[in-house]
Amino acid sequence: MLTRRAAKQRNSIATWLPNEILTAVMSHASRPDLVALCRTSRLFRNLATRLLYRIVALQTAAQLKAFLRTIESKRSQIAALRLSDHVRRFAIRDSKCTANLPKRTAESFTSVLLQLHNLESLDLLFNSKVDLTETLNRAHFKNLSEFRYTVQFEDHPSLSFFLNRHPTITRLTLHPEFEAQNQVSLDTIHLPHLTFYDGPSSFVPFFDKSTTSGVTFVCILFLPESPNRDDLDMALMRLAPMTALHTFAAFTMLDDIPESLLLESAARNIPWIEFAMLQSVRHNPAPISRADARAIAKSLQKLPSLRFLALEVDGVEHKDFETVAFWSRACRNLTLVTLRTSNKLDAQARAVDE
Amino acid sequence: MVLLVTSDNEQFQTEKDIVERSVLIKNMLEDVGESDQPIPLPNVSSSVLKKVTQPSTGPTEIDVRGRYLSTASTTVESPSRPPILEQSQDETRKRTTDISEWDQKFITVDQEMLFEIILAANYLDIKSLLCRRWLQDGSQHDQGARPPEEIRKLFNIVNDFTPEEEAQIKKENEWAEDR
Repeated sequence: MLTRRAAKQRNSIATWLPNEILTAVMSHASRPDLVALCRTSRLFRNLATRLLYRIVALQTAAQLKAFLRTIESKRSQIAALRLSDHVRRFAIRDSKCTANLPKRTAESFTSVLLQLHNLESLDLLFNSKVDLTETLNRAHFKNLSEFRYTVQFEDHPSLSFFLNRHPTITRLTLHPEFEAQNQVSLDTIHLPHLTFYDGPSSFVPFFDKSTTSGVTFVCILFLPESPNRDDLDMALMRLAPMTALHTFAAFTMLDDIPESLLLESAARNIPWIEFAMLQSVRHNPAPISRADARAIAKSLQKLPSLRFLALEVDGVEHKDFETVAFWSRACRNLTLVTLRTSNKLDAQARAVDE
Repeated sequence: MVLLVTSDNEQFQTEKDIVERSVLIKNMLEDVGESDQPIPLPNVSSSVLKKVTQPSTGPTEIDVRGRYLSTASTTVESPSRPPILEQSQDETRKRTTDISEWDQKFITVDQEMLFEIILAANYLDIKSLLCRRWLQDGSQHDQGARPPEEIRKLFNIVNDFTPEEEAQIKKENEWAEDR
Protein backbone atom coordinates (compact mmCIF):
# COMPACT_ATOMS: atom_id res chain seq x y z
CA MET A 1 0.00 0.00 0.00
CA LEU A 2 1.34 3.39 -0.97
CA THR A 3 1.26 6.09 1.65
CA ARG A 4 1.83 9.79 1.50
CA ARG A 5 4.54 9.47 4.11
CA ALA A 6 6.49 6.99 2.04
CA ALA A 7 6.30 9.33 -0.91
CA LYS A 8 7.62 12.26 1.07
CA GLN A 9 10.43 10.34 2.68
CA ARG A 10 12.12 9.55 -0.57
CA ASN A 11 12.55 12.21 -3.14
CA SER A 12 12.55 10.19 -6.35
CA ILE A 13 9.27 8.94 -7.74
CA ALA A 14 11.09 6.00 -9.26
CA THR A 15 12.34 4.65 -5.95
CA TRP A 16 9.05 4.29 -4.15
CA LEU A 17 6.69 3.31 -6.94
CA PRO A 18 6.11 -0.45 -7.10
CA ASN A 19 7.72 -2.15 -10.10
CA GLU A 20 4.33 -3.21 -11.45
CA ILE A 21 3.29 0.42 -11.76
CA LEU A 22 6.58 1.45 -13.35
CA THR A 23 6.15 -1.36 -15.85
CA ALA A 24 2.56 -0.35 -16.55
CA VAL A 25 3.72 3.19 -17.21
CA MET A 26 6.59 2.09 -19.39
CA SER A 27 4.28 -0.05 -21.47
CA HIS A 28 3.01 3.22 -22.98
CA ALA A 29 6.48 4.28 -24.05
CA SER A 30 7.58 4.25 -27.67
CA ARG A 31 10.52 2.20 -28.84
CA PRO A 32 13.04 5.11 -28.73
CA ASP A 33 11.81 5.91 -25.22
CA LEU A 34 12.32 2.32 -24.13
CA VAL A 35 15.85 2.34 -25.54
CA ALA A 36 16.55 5.46 -23.46
CA LEU A 37 14.92 3.97 -20.35
CA CYS A 38 17.19 0.91 -20.65
CA ARG A 39 20.17 3.23 -20.37
CA THR A 40 18.87 5.18 -17.37
CA SER A 41 19.56 2.92 -14.39
CA ARG A 42 19.77 -0.75 -13.47
CA LEU A 43 16.22 -0.85 -12.13
CA PHE A 44 14.78 0.88 -15.19
CA ARG A 45 16.82 -1.36 -17.44
CA ASN A 46 15.44 -4.51 -15.85
CA LEU A 47 11.90 -3.29 -16.36
CA ALA A 48 12.23 -1.70 -19.81
CA THR A 49 14.26 -4.48 -21.48
CA ARG A 50 11.37 -6.89 -21.11
CA LEU A 51 9.05 -4.45 -22.90
CA LEU A 52 11.56 -3.44 -25.55
CA TYR A 53 12.06 -7.04 -26.65
CA ARG A 54 8.35 -7.89 -26.72
CA ILE A 55 7.92 -6.54 -30.22
CA VAL A 56 10.81 -6.89 -32.65
CA ALA A 57 10.04 -5.32 -36.03
CA LEU A 58 13.01 -4.92 -38.33
CA GLN A 59 13.34 -2.62 -41.33
CA THR A 60 16.92 -2.89 -42.51
CA ALA A 61 19.61 -5.55 -42.91
CA ALA A 62 21.74 -3.59 -40.43
CA GLN A 63 19.00 -3.86 -37.81
CA LEU A 64 18.62 -7.56 -38.48
CA LYS A 65 22.35 -8.14 -38.12
CA ALA A 66 22.44 -6.14 -34.87
CA PHE A 67 19.53 -8.14 -33.49
CA LEU A 68 21.12 -11.48 -34.40
CA ARG A 69 24.39 -10.39 -32.82
CA THR A 70 22.60 -9.47 -29.57
CA ILE A 71 20.66 -12.73 -29.32
CA GLU A 72 23.71 -14.82 -30.15
CA SER A 73 26.10 -12.98 -27.84
CA LYS A 74 27.54 -15.08 -25.01
CA ARG A 75 26.10 -12.79 -22.37
CA SER A 76 22.59 -13.15 -23.66
CA GLN A 77 22.90 -16.94 -23.75
CA ILE A 78 23.92 -17.37 -20.09
CA ALA A 79 21.59 -14.79 -18.55
CA ALA A 80 18.97 -16.30 -16.25
CA LEU A 81 16.18 -15.08 -18.47
CA ARG A 82 17.40 -14.81 -22.01
CA LEU A 83 16.50 -11.84 -24.18
CA SER A 84 15.05 -14.20 -26.79
CA ASP A 85 12.46 -15.36 -24.24
CA HIS A 86 10.91 -11.87 -24.10
CA VAL A 87 10.05 -11.75 -27.81
CA ARG A 88 6.30 -12.11 -28.44
CA ARG A 89 6.05 -10.57 -31.91
CA PHE A 90 8.69 -10.79 -34.58
CA ALA A 91 8.33 -9.13 -37.98
CA ILE A 92 10.45 -8.47 -41.03
CA ARG A 93 9.06 -5.19 -42.30
CA ASP A 94 10.98 -4.77 -45.54
CA SER A 95 12.21 -7.14 -48.25
CA LYS A 96 15.59 -5.36 -48.17
CA CYS A 97 16.06 -6.82 -44.69
CA THR A 98 16.82 -10.35 -45.88
CA ALA A 99 17.90 -9.71 -49.48
CA ASN A 100 21.49 -10.67 -50.34
CA LEU A 101 22.38 -11.82 -46.86
CA PRO A 102 25.78 -13.52 -46.55
CA LYS A 103 25.44 -17.26 -45.95
CA ARG A 104 26.54 -17.05 -42.33
CA THR A 105 24.01 -14.31 -41.48
CA ALA A 106 21.24 -16.28 -43.16
CA GLU A 107 22.17 -19.32 -41.06
CA SER A 108 22.20 -17.33 -37.87
CA PHE A 109 18.81 -15.83 -38.83
CA THR A 110 17.25 -19.30 -39.12
CA SER A 111 18.78 -20.47 -35.86
CA VAL A 112 17.81 -17.34 -33.89
CA LEU A 113 14.20 -17.72 -35.03
CA LEU A 114 14.17 -21.15 -33.41
CA GLN A 115 15.17 -19.61 -30.09
CA LEU A 116 12.16 -17.29 -29.89
CA HIS A 117 10.10 -19.85 -27.92
CA ASN A 118 7.42 -17.47 -26.70
CA LEU A 119 6.44 -16.01 -30.07
CA GLU A 120 2.77 -15.18 -30.49
CA SER A 121 3.07 -13.53 -33.89
CA LEU A 122 5.58 -14.32 -36.61
CA ASP A 123 5.57 -12.17 -39.75
CA LEU A 124 7.90 -13.31 -42.50
CA LEU A 125 5.82 -12.05 -45.40
CA PHE A 126 8.62 -9.82 -46.62
CA ASN A 127 11.17 -12.57 -46.68
CA SER A 128 11.41 -14.32 -50.02
CA LYS A 129 15.17 -14.65 -50.18
CA VAL A 130 16.25 -16.70 -47.18
CA ASP A 131 15.27 -20.37 -47.38
CA LEU A 132 13.43 -21.12 -44.14
CA THR A 133 12.63 -24.79 -44.81
CA GLU A 134 14.88 -25.82 -41.95
CA THR A 135 13.18 -23.42 -39.54
CA LEU A 136 9.74 -24.65 -40.58
CA ASN A 137 10.85 -28.22 -40.00
CA ARG A 138 12.25 -27.67 -36.53
CA ALA A 139 10.35 -24.76 -34.99
CA HIS A 140 7.84 -25.13 -32.21
CA PHE A 141 6.24 -21.98 -30.81
CA LYS A 142 3.72 -23.16 -28.26
CA ASN A 143 1.70 -19.90 -28.18
CA LEU A 144 1.81 -18.91 -31.84
CA SER A 145 -1.47 -17.34 -32.92
CA GLU A 146 -0.52 -15.36 -36.03
CA PHE A 147 1.64 -16.53 -38.91
CA ARG A 148 2.44 -14.54 -42.07
CA TYR A 149 4.61 -16.19 -44.66
CA THR A 150 5.62 -16.02 -48.31
CA VAL A 151 5.45 -19.52 -49.68
CA GLN A 152 8.28 -20.74 -51.80
CA PHE A 153 7.66 -23.57 -54.19
CA GLU A 154 10.08 -26.01 -52.62
CA ASP A 155 8.94 -25.70 -49.00
CA HIS A 156 5.42 -27.13 -49.38
CA PRO A 157 5.93 -30.27 -47.26
CA SER A 158 7.64 -28.29 -44.51
CA LEU A 159 4.83 -25.74 -44.51
CA SER A 160 2.09 -28.32 -43.87
CA PHE A 161 4.31 -29.92 -41.26
CA PHE A 162 4.86 -26.55 -39.55
CA LEU A 163 1.18 -25.54 -39.60
CA ASN A 164 0.01 -28.88 -38.22
CA ARG A 165 2.45 -28.54 -35.35
CA HIS A 166 0.92 -25.17 -34.42
CA PRO A 167 -2.80 -25.74 -33.79
CA THR A 168 -2.91 -22.50 -31.78
CA ILE A 169 -2.84 -20.42 -34.98
CA THR A 170 -5.90 -18.20 -35.40
CA ARG A 171 -4.71 -15.83 -38.13
CA LEU A 172 -2.94 -17.12 -41.21
CA THR A 173 -1.54 -15.13 -44.14
CA LEU A 174 0.12 -17.03 -46.98
CA HIS A 175 1.31 -15.34 -50.12
CA PRO A 176 2.58 -17.36 -53.04
CA GLU A 177 5.93 -16.51 -54.51
CA PHE A 178 5.95 -19.19 -57.20
CA GLU A 179 4.57 -18.84 -60.69
CA ALA A 180 2.32 -21.80 -61.38
CA GLN A 181 -0.42 -21.74 -58.75
CA ASN A 182 -2.09 -24.95 -59.87
CA GLN A 183 0.83 -27.09 -58.85
CA VAL A 184 0.25 -26.60 -55.14
CA SER A 185 0.26 -29.78 -53.16
CA LEU A 186 0.12 -29.59 -49.40
CA ASP A 187 -0.74 -32.22 -46.84
CA THR A 188 -4.09 -31.82 -45.14
CA ILE A 189 -3.91 -28.88 -42.75
CA HIS A 190 -5.61 -29.02 -39.38
CA LEU A 191 -5.93 -25.64 -37.63
CA PRO A 192 -9.01 -25.91 -35.38
CA HIS A 193 -8.83 -22.30 -34.14
CA LEU A 194 -8.38 -20.56 -37.48
CA THR A 195 -10.63 -17.52 -37.89
CA PHE A 196 -8.74 -15.40 -40.41
CA TYR A 197 -7.25 -16.49 -43.70
CA ASP A 198 -5.53 -14.25 -46.22
CA GLY A 199 -4.04 -16.00 -49.22
CA PRO A 200 -4.72 -17.77 -52.50
CA SER A 201 -7.86 -19.86 -52.82
CA SER A 202 -5.77 -22.74 -54.17
CA PHE A 203 -4.64 -23.55 -50.60
CA VAL A 204 -8.16 -23.78 -49.20
CA PRO A 205 -8.86 -27.37 -50.42
CA PHE A 206 -6.02 -28.56 -48.21
CA PHE A 207 -7.70 -27.26 -45.06
CA ASP A 208 -9.70 -29.94 -43.27
CA LYS A 209 -13.30 -29.46 -42.17
CA SER A 210 -12.53 -28.24 -38.66
CA THR A 211 -10.20 -25.61 -40.13
CA THR A 212 -12.56 -24.15 -42.72
CA SER A 213 -15.68 -24.20 -40.58
CA GLY A 214 -14.30 -21.66 -38.07
CA VAL A 215 -13.06 -19.09 -40.57
CA THR A 216 -14.99 -15.83 -40.34
CA PHE A 217 -12.77 -13.54 -42.40
CA VAL A 218 -11.23 -14.42 -45.72
CA CYS A 219 -9.18 -12.35 -48.12
CA ILE A 220 -8.53 -13.93 -51.51
CA LEU A 221 -5.92 -12.71 -53.91
CA PHE A 222 -6.55 -13.18 -57.63
CA LEU A 223 -3.35 -13.17 -59.61
CA PRO A 224 -2.95 -12.67 -63.36
CA GLU A 225 -2.47 -16.44 -63.69
CA SER A 226 -6.15 -17.12 -63.14
CA PRO A 227 -7.76 -14.98 -65.78
CA ASN A 228 -10.98 -16.52 -66.90
CA ARG A 229 -14.39 -16.63 -65.43
CA ASP A 230 -14.40 -20.38 -64.75
CA ASP A 231 -11.26 -20.05 -62.65
CA LEU A 232 -12.94 -17.29 -60.70
CA ASP A 233 -15.98 -19.38 -59.97
CA MET A 234 -13.75 -22.33 -59.07
CA ALA A 235 -11.85 -20.14 -56.61
CA LEU A 236 -15.01 -19.09 -54.81
CA MET A 237 -16.42 -22.62 -54.90
CA ARG A 238 -13.49 -23.61 -52.69
CA LEU A 239 -14.73 -21.17 -50.03
CA ALA A 240 -18.15 -22.85 -49.80
CA PRO A 241 -17.13 -25.04 -46.80
CA MET A 242 -16.51 -21.84 -44.80
CA THR A 243 -19.97 -21.83 -43.30
CA ALA A 244 -19.16 -19.28 -40.58
CA LEU A 245 -17.80 -16.78 -43.09
CA HIS A 246 -18.70 -13.26 -42.17
CA THR A 247 -16.41 -11.08 -44.28
CA PHE A 248 -15.31 -11.75 -47.83
CA ALA A 249 -12.54 -9.58 -49.19
CA ALA A 250 -11.13 -10.02 -52.67
CA PHE A 251 -8.05 -8.40 -54.04
CA THR A 252 -7.51 -8.69 -57.78
CA MET A 253 -4.48 -7.85 -59.81
CA LEU A 254 -6.32 -8.33 -63.08
CA ASP A 255 -7.54 -5.86 -65.61
CA ASP A 256 -10.73 -7.62 -66.46
CA ILE A 257 -12.59 -9.12 -63.51
CA PRO A 258 -15.74 -7.08 -63.26
CA GLU A 259 -17.08 -6.79 -59.73
CA SER A 260 -20.43 -8.07 -60.94
CA LEU A 261 -18.83 -11.43 -61.80
CA LEU A 262 -17.20 -11.73 -58.38
CA LEU A 263 -20.45 -10.93 -56.60
CA GLU A 264 -22.41 -13.33 -58.80
CA SER A 265 -20.01 -16.11 -57.87
CA ALA A 266 -20.12 -15.13 -54.19
CA ALA A 267 -23.93 -15.25 -54.25
CA ARG A 268 -23.76 -18.78 -55.62
CA ASN A 269 -21.07 -20.13 -53.28
CA ILE A 270 -21.05 -18.14 -50.03
CA PRO A 271 -24.47 -16.44 -49.85
CA TRP A 272 -24.29 -16.07 -46.04
CA ILE A 273 -21.64 -13.32 -45.98
CA GLU A 274 -22.36 -9.99 -44.29
CA PHE A 275 -19.46 -7.91 -45.55
CA ALA A 276 -18.00 -7.85 -49.05
CA MET A 277 -14.96 -5.79 -49.99
CA LEU A 278 -13.73 -5.97 -53.56
CA GLN A 279 -10.54 -4.19 -54.40
CA SER A 280 -8.44 -4.20 -57.54
CA VAL A 281 -5.19 -2.67 -58.66
CA ARG A 282 -6.32 -2.07 -62.19
CA HIS A 283 -4.54 0.34 -64.46
CA ASN A 284 -7.73 1.60 -65.97
CA PRO A 285 -10.64 1.15 -63.58
CA ALA A 286 -13.88 1.62 -65.41
CA PRO A 287 -16.95 3.41 -64.13
CA ILE A 288 -19.86 1.11 -63.33
CA SER A 289 -21.91 0.62 -66.45
CA ARG A 290 -25.68 0.27 -66.40
CA ALA A 291 -25.40 -3.39 -67.30
CA ASP A 292 -22.93 -3.94 -64.44
CA ALA A 293 -25.17 -2.11 -61.99
CA ARG A 294 -28.10 -4.32 -62.98
CA ALA A 295 -25.99 -7.48 -62.73
CA ILE A 296 -24.77 -6.46 -59.27
CA ALA A 297 -28.34 -5.77 -58.14
CA LYS A 298 -29.31 -9.25 -59.30
CA SER A 299 -26.50 -10.81 -57.24
CA LEU A 300 -27.40 -8.67 -54.23
CA GLN A 301 -30.88 -10.23 -54.23
CA LYS A 302 -29.21 -13.56 -53.58
CA LEU A 303 -27.05 -12.22 -50.73
CA PRO A 304 -29.76 -11.74 -48.08
CA SER A 305 -27.37 -11.19 -45.14
CA LEU A 306 -25.17 -8.61 -46.81
CA ARG A 307 -24.90 -5.42 -44.78
CA PHE A 308 -21.82 -3.74 -46.17
CA LEU A 309 -20.41 -3.52 -49.68
CA ALA A 310 -17.20 -1.78 -50.71
CA LEU A 311 -16.21 -1.41 -54.35
CA GLU A 312 -13.44 0.32 -56.18
CA VAL A 313 -14.65 2.31 -59.16
CA ASP A 314 -13.48 5.08 -61.40
CA GLY A 315 -14.77 8.39 -60.15
CA VAL A 316 -17.90 8.88 -58.13
CA GLU A 317 -20.45 10.57 -60.30
CA HIS A 318 -23.92 11.68 -59.56
CA LYS A 319 -25.46 8.68 -61.22
CA ASP A 320 -23.49 6.40 -58.89
CA PHE A 321 -25.58 7.59 -55.97
CA GLU A 322 -28.71 6.60 -57.87
CA THR A 323 -27.06 3.24 -58.48
CA VAL A 324 -26.42 2.80 -54.76
CA ALA A 325 -30.05 3.58 -53.99
CA PHE A 326 -31.05 1.04 -56.62
CA TRP A 327 -28.85 -1.59 -54.96
CA SER A 328 -30.15 -0.92 -51.48
CA ARG A 329 -33.65 -1.70 -52.76
CA ALA A 330 -32.36 -5.02 -54.11
CA CYS A 331 -30.85 -6.13 -50.79
CA ARG A 332 -32.93 -5.77 -47.64
CA ASN A 333 -30.10 -5.65 -45.08
CA LEU A 334 -27.65 -3.56 -47.06
CA THR A 335 -26.98 -0.45 -45.01
CA LEU A 336 -23.63 0.80 -46.21
CA VAL A 337 -22.05 0.99 -49.65
CA THR A 338 -18.59 2.45 -50.12
CA LEU A 339 -17.34 3.37 -53.55
CA ARG A 340 -13.65 3.93 -53.28
CA THR A 341 -11.87 6.13 -55.73
CA SER A 342 -8.79 8.26 -55.89
CA ASN A 343 -9.30 12.00 -55.48
CA LYS A 344 -7.76 12.71 -58.79
CA LEU A 345 -10.30 10.61 -60.64
CA ASP A 346 -13.05 12.15 -58.59
CA ALA A 347 -11.97 15.62 -59.65
CA GLN A 348 -11.85 14.57 -63.27
CA ALA A 349 -15.35 13.22 -63.13
CA ARG A 350 -16.57 16.51 -61.75
CA ALA A 351 -14.79 18.49 -64.39
CA VAL A 352 -16.53 16.48 -67.08
CA ASP A 353 -19.90 17.18 -65.46
CA GLU A 354 -19.36 20.91 -65.52
CA MET B 1 -25.72 10.25 -8.69
CA VAL B 2 -23.33 9.43 -5.88
CA LEU B 3 -22.20 11.79 -3.16
CA LEU B 4 -18.49 11.73 -2.31
CA VAL B 5 -16.79 13.54 0.57
CA THR B 6 -13.08 14.28 0.34
CA SER B 7 -10.44 14.60 3.06
CA ASP B 8 -10.90 18.38 3.15
CA ASN B 9 -14.66 17.93 3.65
CA GLU B 10 -15.78 19.03 0.22
CA GLN B 11 -18.80 17.27 -1.24
CA PHE B 12 -19.02 16.04 -4.81
CA GLN B 13 -22.06 14.94 -6.78
CA THR B 14 -20.72 12.45 -9.31
CA GLU B 15 -22.38 10.21 -11.86
CA LYS B 16 -22.50 6.58 -10.94
CA ASP B 17 -20.88 5.21 -14.10
CA ILE B 18 -17.92 7.53 -13.57
CA VAL B 19 -17.24 6.64 -9.96
CA GLU B 20 -17.71 2.94 -10.64
CA ARG B 21 -14.47 2.95 -12.57
CA SER B 22 -12.96 2.98 -9.13
CA VAL B 23 -13.01 -0.59 -7.91
CA LEU B 24 -12.98 0.64 -4.32
CA ILE B 25 -16.13 2.76 -4.74
CA LYS B 26 -17.84 0.14 -6.88
CA ASN B 27 -17.37 -2.47 -4.16
CA MET B 28 -18.55 -0.01 -1.57
CA LEU B 29 -21.71 0.76 -3.51
CA GLU B 30 -22.38 -2.93 -3.95
CA ASP B 31 -21.97 -3.56 -0.24
CA VAL B 32 -24.06 -0.63 0.92
CA GLY B 33 -26.65 -0.64 -1.83
CA GLU B 34 -28.63 2.40 -2.98
CA SER B 35 -28.22 5.11 -0.37
CA ASP B 36 -28.18 8.88 -0.03
CA GLN B 37 -25.37 8.69 2.48
CA PRO B 38 -22.16 10.36 1.29
CA ILE B 39 -19.13 8.14 0.74
CA PRO B 40 -16.10 9.36 2.67
CA LEU B 41 -12.72 9.31 0.93
CA PRO B 42 -10.27 10.19 3.70
CA ASN B 43 -7.21 9.67 1.51
CA VAL B 44 -8.22 11.93 -1.37
CA SER B 45 -8.28 15.71 -1.41
CA SER B 46 -10.81 17.73 -3.40
CA SER B 47 -8.26 19.06 -5.88
CA VAL B 48 -7.15 15.54 -6.74
CA LEU B 49 -10.67 14.13 -6.94
CA LYS B 50 -11.62 16.88 -9.37
CA LYS B 51 -8.74 15.95 -11.53
CA VAL B 52 -9.49 12.27 -11.42
CA THR B 53 -13.24 12.28 -11.96
CA GLN B 54 -14.68 15.34 -13.57
CA PRO B 55 -15.65 15.06 -17.21
CA SER B 56 -14.19 17.65 -19.49
CA THR B 57 -16.53 19.01 -22.10
CA GLY B 58 -14.49 21.65 -23.83
CA PRO B 59 -11.62 24.12 -23.72
CA THR B 60 -13.19 26.12 -20.89
CA GLU B 61 -13.10 23.11 -18.64
CA ILE B 62 -9.46 22.64 -19.38
CA ASP B 63 -8.85 26.24 -18.44
CA VAL B 64 -10.52 25.70 -15.10
CA ARG B 65 -8.26 22.75 -14.51
CA GLY B 66 -5.41 24.80 -15.81
CA ARG B 67 -4.51 25.89 -12.32
CA TYR B 68 -3.24 22.40 -11.66
CA LEU B 69 -1.22 22.30 -14.81
CA SER B 70 2.23 23.71 -14.98
CA THR B 71 1.82 24.55 -18.64
CA ALA B 72 -1.80 25.57 -18.96
CA SER B 73 -2.11 26.51 -22.59
CA THR B 74 -5.25 28.14 -23.91
CA THR B 75 -6.67 26.19 -26.81
CA VAL B 76 -6.95 22.50 -26.27
CA GLU B 77 -9.01 20.13 -28.36
CA SER B 78 -10.27 17.93 -25.58
CA PRO B 79 -12.15 14.67 -25.65
CA SER B 80 -15.38 14.74 -23.70
CA ARG B 81 -14.49 11.79 -21.53
CA PRO B 82 -12.45 12.06 -18.38
CA PRO B 83 -9.58 9.62 -18.02
CA ILE B 84 -11.44 7.68 -15.39
CA LEU B 85 -14.05 6.66 -17.98
CA GLU B 86 -11.65 5.27 -20.50
CA GLN B 87 -11.63 1.55 -21.01
CA SER B 88 -8.34 0.03 -20.05
CA GLN B 89 -6.91 -1.18 -23.30
CA ASP B 90 -4.26 -3.61 -24.30
CA GLU B 91 -1.56 -1.60 -22.64
CA THR B 92 1.37 -3.19 -24.39
CA ARG B 93 0.15 -2.13 -27.80
CA LYS B 94 -0.53 1.44 -26.85
CA ARG B 95 1.94 3.77 -28.43
CA THR B 96 2.98 7.37 -28.17
CA THR B 97 0.73 8.33 -31.04
CA ASP B 98 -2.39 7.17 -29.22
CA ILE B 99 -2.03 9.76 -26.51
CA SER B 100 -4.45 12.60 -27.06
CA GLU B 101 -3.59 16.19 -26.44
CA TRP B 102 -5.87 16.19 -23.45
CA ASP B 103 -3.93 13.31 -21.95
CA GLN B 104 -0.73 15.11 -22.56
CA LYS B 105 -2.01 18.16 -20.71
CA PHE B 106 -3.29 15.89 -18.00
CA ILE B 107 0.12 14.43 -17.41
CA THR B 108 1.89 17.75 -17.61
CA VAL B 109 1.54 18.43 -13.92
CA ASP B 110 4.20 19.12 -11.37
CA GLN B 111 5.66 16.15 -9.56
CA GLU B 112 3.86 16.78 -6.31
CA MET B 113 0.46 16.73 -8.01
CA LEU B 114 1.61 13.63 -9.82
CA PHE B 115 2.32 11.89 -6.50
CA GLU B 116 -1.12 12.82 -5.27
CA ILE B 117 -2.83 11.53 -8.39
CA ILE B 118 -0.97 8.25 -8.29
CA LEU B 119 -1.73 7.83 -4.61
CA ALA B 120 -5.41 8.54 -5.25
CA ALA B 121 -5.56 6.19 -8.21
CA ASN B 122 -3.91 3.49 -6.16
CA TYR B 123 -6.28 4.04 -3.22
CA LEU B 124 -9.39 4.21 -5.37
CA ASP B 125 -8.11 1.31 -7.47
CA ILE B 126 -8.46 2.93 -10.90
CA LYS B 127 -6.40 0.89 -13.30
CA SER B 128 -6.85 3.03 -16.39
CA LEU B 129 -5.54 6.06 -14.58
CA LEU B 130 -2.59 4.28 -13.04
CA CYS B 131 -1.51 3.16 -16.47
CA ARG B 132 -1.66 6.63 -17.89
CA ARG B 133 1.62 7.72 -19.19
CA TRP B 134 3.05 10.36 -16.92
CA LEU B 135 6.38 10.01 -18.50
CA GLN B 136 6.18 12.96 -20.82
CA ASP B 137 6.00 12.47 -24.52
CA GLY B 138 9.39 12.68 -26.14
CA SER B 139 8.08 14.29 -29.31
CA GLN B 140 9.29 17.68 -28.14
CA HIS B 141 12.77 16.36 -28.79
CA ASP B 142 13.84 16.34 -32.40
CA GLN B 143 15.49 12.97 -32.04
CA GLY B 144 12.28 11.38 -30.87
CA ALA B 145 13.27 10.03 -27.47
CA ARG B 146 14.11 11.84 -24.29
CA PRO B 147 17.79 11.21 -23.60
CA PRO B 148 18.64 9.03 -20.55
CA GLU B 149 20.37 11.94 -18.77
CA GLU B 150 17.14 13.90 -18.86
CA ILE B 151 15.05 11.00 -17.57
CA ARG B 152 17.47 10.70 -14.66
CA LYS B 153 17.19 14.40 -13.93
CA LEU B 154 13.41 14.41 -14.20
CA PHE B 155 12.91 11.56 -11.74
CA ASN B 156 16.00 12.12 -9.66
CA ILE B 157 17.53 8.78 -10.52
CA VAL B 158 21.17 7.92 -9.86
CA ASN B 159 23.12 6.44 -12.73
CA ASP B 160 24.33 3.16 -11.23
CA PHE B 161 25.92 1.78 -14.40
CA THR B 162 29.63 1.32 -14.89
CA PRO B 163 30.93 2.87 -18.13
CA GLU B 164 31.46 -0.67 -19.52
CA GLU B 165 27.87 -1.60 -18.76
CA GLU B 166 26.63 1.55 -20.42
CA ALA B 167 28.56 0.79 -23.58
CA GLN B 168 27.40 -2.80 -23.54
CA ILE B 169 23.71 -1.88 -23.19
CA LYS B 170 23.98 0.62 -26.01
CA LYS B 171 25.43 -2.08 -28.24
CA GLU B 172 22.91 -4.69 -27.15
CA ASN B 173 19.94 -2.52 -28.13
CA GLU B 174 21.41 -1.16 -31.31
CA TRP B 175 18.85 -3.05 -33.41
CA ALA B 176 16.10 -0.91 -31.91
CA GLU B 177 17.68 2.41 -32.82
CA ASP B 178 15.82 3.99 -35.71
CA ARG B 179 18.13 4.78 -38.50
